[in-house]
Amino acid sequence: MTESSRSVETLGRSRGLPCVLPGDQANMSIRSLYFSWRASACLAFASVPVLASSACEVGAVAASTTTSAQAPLVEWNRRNAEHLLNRAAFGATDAEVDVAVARGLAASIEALFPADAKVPRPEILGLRDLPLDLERPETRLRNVEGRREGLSRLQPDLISPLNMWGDWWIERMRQSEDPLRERMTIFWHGHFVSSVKEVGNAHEMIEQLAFLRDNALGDFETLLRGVGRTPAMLAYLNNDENVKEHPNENWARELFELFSLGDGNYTEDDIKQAARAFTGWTDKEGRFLFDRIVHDFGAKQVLGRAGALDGDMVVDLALEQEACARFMAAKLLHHFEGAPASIERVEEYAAFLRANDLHIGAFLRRLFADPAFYRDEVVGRRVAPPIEWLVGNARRLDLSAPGQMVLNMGDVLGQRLFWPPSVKGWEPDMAWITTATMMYRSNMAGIMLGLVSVQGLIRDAEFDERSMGDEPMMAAAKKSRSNGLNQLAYIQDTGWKPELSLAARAKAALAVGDARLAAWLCGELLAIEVPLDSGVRGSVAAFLARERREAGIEMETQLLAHPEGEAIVRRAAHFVLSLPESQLN
Amino acid sequence: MDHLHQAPKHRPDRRGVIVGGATIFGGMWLFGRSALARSTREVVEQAKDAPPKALLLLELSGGNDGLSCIVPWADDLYHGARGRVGHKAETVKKIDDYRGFHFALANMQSQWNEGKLAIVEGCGYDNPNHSHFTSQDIWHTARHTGRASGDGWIGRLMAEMHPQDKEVPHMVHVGQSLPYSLKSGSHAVVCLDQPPPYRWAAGGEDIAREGGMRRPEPGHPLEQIRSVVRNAQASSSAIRRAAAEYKPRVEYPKHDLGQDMQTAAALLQSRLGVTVMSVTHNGYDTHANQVYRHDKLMQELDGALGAFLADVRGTPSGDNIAILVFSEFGRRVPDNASMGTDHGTAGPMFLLGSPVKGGLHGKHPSLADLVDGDLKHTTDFRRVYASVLDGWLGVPNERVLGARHEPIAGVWA
Repeated sequence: MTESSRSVETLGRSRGLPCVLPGDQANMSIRSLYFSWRASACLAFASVPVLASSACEVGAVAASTTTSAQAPLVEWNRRNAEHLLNRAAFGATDAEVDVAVARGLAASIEALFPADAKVPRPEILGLRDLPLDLERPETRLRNVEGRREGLSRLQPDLISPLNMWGDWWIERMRQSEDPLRERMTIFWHGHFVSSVKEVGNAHEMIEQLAFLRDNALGDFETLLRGVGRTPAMLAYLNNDENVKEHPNENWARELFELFSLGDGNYTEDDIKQAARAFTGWTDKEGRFLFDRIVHDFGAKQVLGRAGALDGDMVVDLALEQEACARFMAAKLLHHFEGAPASIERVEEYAAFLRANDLHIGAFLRRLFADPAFYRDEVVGRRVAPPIEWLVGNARRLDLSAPGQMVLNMGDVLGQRLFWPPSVKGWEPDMAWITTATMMYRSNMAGIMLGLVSVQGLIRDAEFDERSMGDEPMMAAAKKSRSNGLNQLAYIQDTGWKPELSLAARAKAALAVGDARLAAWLCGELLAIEVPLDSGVRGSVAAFLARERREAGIEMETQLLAHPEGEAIVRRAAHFVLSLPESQLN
Repeated sequence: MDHLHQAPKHRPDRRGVIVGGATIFGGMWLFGRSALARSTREVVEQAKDAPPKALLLLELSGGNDGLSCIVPWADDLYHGARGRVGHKAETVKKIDDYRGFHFALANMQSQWNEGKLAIVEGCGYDNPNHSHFTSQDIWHTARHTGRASGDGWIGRLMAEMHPQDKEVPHMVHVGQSLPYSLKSGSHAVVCLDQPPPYRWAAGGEDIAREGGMRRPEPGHPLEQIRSVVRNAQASSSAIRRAAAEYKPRVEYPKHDLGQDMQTAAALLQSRLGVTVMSVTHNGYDTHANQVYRHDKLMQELDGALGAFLADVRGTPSGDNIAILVFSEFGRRVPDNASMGTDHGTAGPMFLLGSPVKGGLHGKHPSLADLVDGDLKHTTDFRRVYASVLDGWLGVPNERVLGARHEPIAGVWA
């Protein structure tokens, strides 16, 4: 299969309208409106063949960036291979880095876009059809608070499907068969934000995440147009209650500010007028519905265009803005490079996006083949967001951590999937690092390694017993703040223990002796290369030596075979994962 | 693997071992110690002096509807614009013949009656921005250019107030994520959601001590992470001890804000050396179903503030706490069809606590003179910051705010 035909297929698939999109009659009316608008704008209406041909160009451009003789080449070595896998996947073990190096850059990038990946329909989605759907009192409660009350009353039923989806999704990340797609799904979840807290419906959350996942590497238009129709978004930003007489601006504002253009690229009047255009976008029984009765068919002016605009036309206008490609290029570059990109770099990539139908997959192919992506200021200097860090640790430790464990650890560390903190999603970079999260990251690694008891964390024996006497009041009182820890305690109470054999792995890798074992642990468990003179390896080796002597193991070579060997190697692994160096990728 | 859980037990002298091993790291270890030593000295000095003045910064995040908080109950224009979410005149706790408190603000009202609540009406800024995030940045930095202007206003304040003691946790935020107002390129900031788990388990603190001290690499993110680790290490025990040993004189509400305020009270009255404590009350973005949601928020806010004030009043350090309450914007005057309100502009700010002299300041924005449905602000919010800086903390406001702002007069007792 050639490069281009392969991308055609990927693209064609991702083009498929999301599960929650049209099909019903109400939808046909808005689609025909939308079609006529497109036709009148002299844009050939997007039929499948047209898209396929543009997709060929996308594929060709992407291919040329990776293979063209004129393009500057990325020096392909272990450093750069690990960098690619840190940023485009969920990190790599030494062996996986070796494979990537042997494969070469082009093939390593290609492997991130599995051609025959089925965009698997998880069994989880079948949950939508369970009897639960038939009797969902919470869907009858039309408003947010009603939903939330329904949520707390029905929590077991409502949350369990989401937990099953979460387990499945985390396992997809850990297996990393299609890691870039899973990563981009997290990215879009933090971009096109909805939170189950406000949505109050697990099925709608799952449908939205499945939609984002299906289209994670496709074109931005499909995402932007489709996400506004997902019942989760309609509920989260209240567009399901946006009616002609008194429009609700919530969706229109965030569509421009956070989803497509960025602050400063629209006016307050654009928002007010756009909100009118989206009146009538609502949902019924879990399906998008265009309610003509409450739609404002009057004339509007949005982003410099006047007419009887409807929601899809406003989406078109947003997509046409110069600012849209610039906004998305800047956000993607920042996400993957770990710091804001220069104006020149943003413009370069924005131009590329415009020339390629805002195709996200093409953008990422180009980025990963760009020598600038591998420059010193980028490599190893990005703070790993909690989910990436946790999944990366599980992968490097070869630990099959339960999905619920990773999800709840994410909560403790400030990244609770399905519950983004605000419509802006999660703050990147140093915002992840606070005095508390630096302790918690170490403790979460300790739990993964079987070294830390969560109950011991919740009860502060050192101080609570002295002062309170009875129960640990703070922990008990602040239930919502302790949610993640309580869930983790529950997982440990069920008898979960990590199945790890670090000592055996070290032995197989011939990492014998304090210094070599320390080097092996650093190489295997850190996403970044630590300079030889940084002292990191030396301090790990010194730690090993101390632990070894305390256990009465005199000979370095005896450690791995000693009964205490596994425990000591795990404590050393805990040491490594607690280091500031471990927080970067 | 239970023996792993208990691993530290059979090594009681672990700390001693690490200290012994620290000769390997020589100077770097001493660097870590000197920071600790300084913070200890600071604590001793403070114990001798009168309790320092402190500020509790309470942010109502999401855009508090000022018109539902201090209700212009006698204004027909208010009732006309708020047919869905408005408060009937008879439910309002009257302040005067124009305005009154939301019915849930019973504690605020009694503070007002005691002359301990200053209300500054119509606070905002020129060219109001309706984005939560841009507007929060403006409030957090006190600059229209937001984050591009550098540190947060509290971060700048620390640089002025404590030029020497950069490692002492003068700034503490209780909550999961740090507001930008406390952002500082030079000074330690402590951030925690709850005290008991605020520590390293399984020997992690020893590990962290080593992680916190390496050869400096200026500009590298590792350098920033290491400084956070040092601050974490220096504050872990002190924070937990202060919270655990604290005996509140009243029972705080069980919700997050109530519990955060209890933690704030504990830490502010401890010997940690906290100058600015920050707490966030989330959930004010009431685009839909505002009546129920905002009522509940007002109830939580009032309960938490009431408990805090009752708890700290009369203690030497408690009487040295001023509370500043703010939100990134008010909400649109006309309500929307989903029983909510969209993003607006001006809103009231509040000052409370023993140091405060109660009264009404600023000017209520006219409901007859709107810009696209929004109130026109009457008072720049930086004038309230200026009052806190000049009048309470004794720092010339231009040194923190970049330009001189006229403080609101008459807000201090």
